[in-house]
Amino acid sequence: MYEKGDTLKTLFLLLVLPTALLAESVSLKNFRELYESLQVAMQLTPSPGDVLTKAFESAHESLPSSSEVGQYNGSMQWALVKLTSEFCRERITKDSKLAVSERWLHKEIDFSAAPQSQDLSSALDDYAAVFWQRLPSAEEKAAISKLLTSVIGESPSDVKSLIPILVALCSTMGSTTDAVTF
Amino acid sequence: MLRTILLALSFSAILSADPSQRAQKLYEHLTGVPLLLTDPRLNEMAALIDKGEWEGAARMATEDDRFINVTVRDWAAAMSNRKESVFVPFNDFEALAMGVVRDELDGRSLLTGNFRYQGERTLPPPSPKSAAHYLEMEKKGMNFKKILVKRSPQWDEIEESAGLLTTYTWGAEHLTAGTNRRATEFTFQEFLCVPISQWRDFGRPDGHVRRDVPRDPSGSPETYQTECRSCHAQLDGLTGAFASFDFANGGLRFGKNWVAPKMNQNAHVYPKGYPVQNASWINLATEHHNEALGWRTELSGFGLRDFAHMVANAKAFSGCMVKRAYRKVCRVELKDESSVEAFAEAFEKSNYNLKRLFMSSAIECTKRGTP
Repeated sequence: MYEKGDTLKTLFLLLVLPTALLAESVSLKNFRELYESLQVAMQLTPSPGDVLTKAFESAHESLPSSSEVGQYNGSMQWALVKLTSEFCRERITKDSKLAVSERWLHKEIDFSAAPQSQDLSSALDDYAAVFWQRLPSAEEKAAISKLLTSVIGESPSDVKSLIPILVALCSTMGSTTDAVTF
Repeated sequence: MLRTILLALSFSAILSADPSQRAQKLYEHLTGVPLLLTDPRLNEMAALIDKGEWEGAARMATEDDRFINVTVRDWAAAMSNRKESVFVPFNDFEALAMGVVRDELDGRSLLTGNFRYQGERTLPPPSPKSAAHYLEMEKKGMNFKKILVKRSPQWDEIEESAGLLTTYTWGAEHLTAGTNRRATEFTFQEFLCVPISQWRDFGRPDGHVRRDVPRDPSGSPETYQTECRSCHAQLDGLTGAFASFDFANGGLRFGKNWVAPKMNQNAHVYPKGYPVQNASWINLATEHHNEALGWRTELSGFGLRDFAHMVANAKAFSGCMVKRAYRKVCRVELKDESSVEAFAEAFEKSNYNLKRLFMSSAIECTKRGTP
């Protein structure tokens, strides 16, 4: 039986590229650029004192302070995943309560049903578009879908599992190299 | 091996980039955030780039609030403190720099301007004695680009204004305690891009070295001649410009015809040294490698405003602003000196327009394929 934390952790470990593999010409977004990029991707504007602002205030000193790739370490990655997960949760929760036509993302997801493989496939497209500014390649999609299936099982039947699974997928996509670098 | 492959792949992708990809890159260089596929500006910018109208596309990107609120803010923040950290609360230094860029004022006014940029009147009043106004702006999540307004004079209580050099933030960072030499050192470091290790010069006349500098440190006159003098001869000659300033009791303090006591502290160390009696100064960083700083105005003067005018009009100021802007938007150093000179010349011809400098830097590195 999967647990929300397990999904997040497994996806994080398997999808986030180690910084040692990054090309020299890549540069990192700093804490402010990361925060603003999340706002753009999730179309959310934090207000003073709200959960997103508090998450940022709590995380920002653990996030990158410059564009130097060499500074990126495990604790930065984790701070970023946590911040990204707050934005993802906010967006997913918002969309789950809106009519399909009003949603920013998740237009093909039925939030009243248990997660289906096509839900996750469409979510993957959504997150790639906003975090990577491109759609995932067929290979990327197949790899991530296979990974998701291995982690959460062939067909989880619990409707309550949909949002946590989406949060996990969104957070991980939002913490990938393509999302955190220029 | 994998690093090489990734590098090759990233370059080949940029070289074959279509206008949309270039528009995305240009926008990202200038704002620090992605341009989404669904954003109508993507097609508009791509169309401009396709027609070769790069400046038009870049200008669209600079109209986004994040150009000022993220990119320019970070660029300014790094110059506002000794550690060159961007992890600093919003302050009057950043506000002034952001305003100058946003309003396309002459970039030299960063040092020569007699104005400040501030938020709305409902906030605690801006003051050379408090950072509260700007801290409150950040706490309230205000959109700096939209809110900042220009006010003159910079401060009613300080008649010798010099832009960033007479902000509360600069004072707190460089005029607290000490001997005010730090303010001179960091003026060169932040606005001419030369740390003191690079502008020290041996054998310069040491008539202006103050009385607190021993001429035989640890009993060695040779150490003074070969080490101490190479910095102090020039540094002390220039620091007279800051003589009438201090940062004490939580605020920036200025007195016309007043010399801060710190300027003459420890006078017993070498009583024959130079006594600071007023805000006169002299620039001795003019020979050998320092000729490259390209001084273009008077090399001596009275007060901070004269000093700021000299620094802002130096060739090295333009070069430094080029390097800083390029580094910020392109995220790599512009090392080729001929490129720095070309950019600096264009910057000066544009009336020192910093917004256009950011734009042209981003255009260049987008064309070149710098990620």
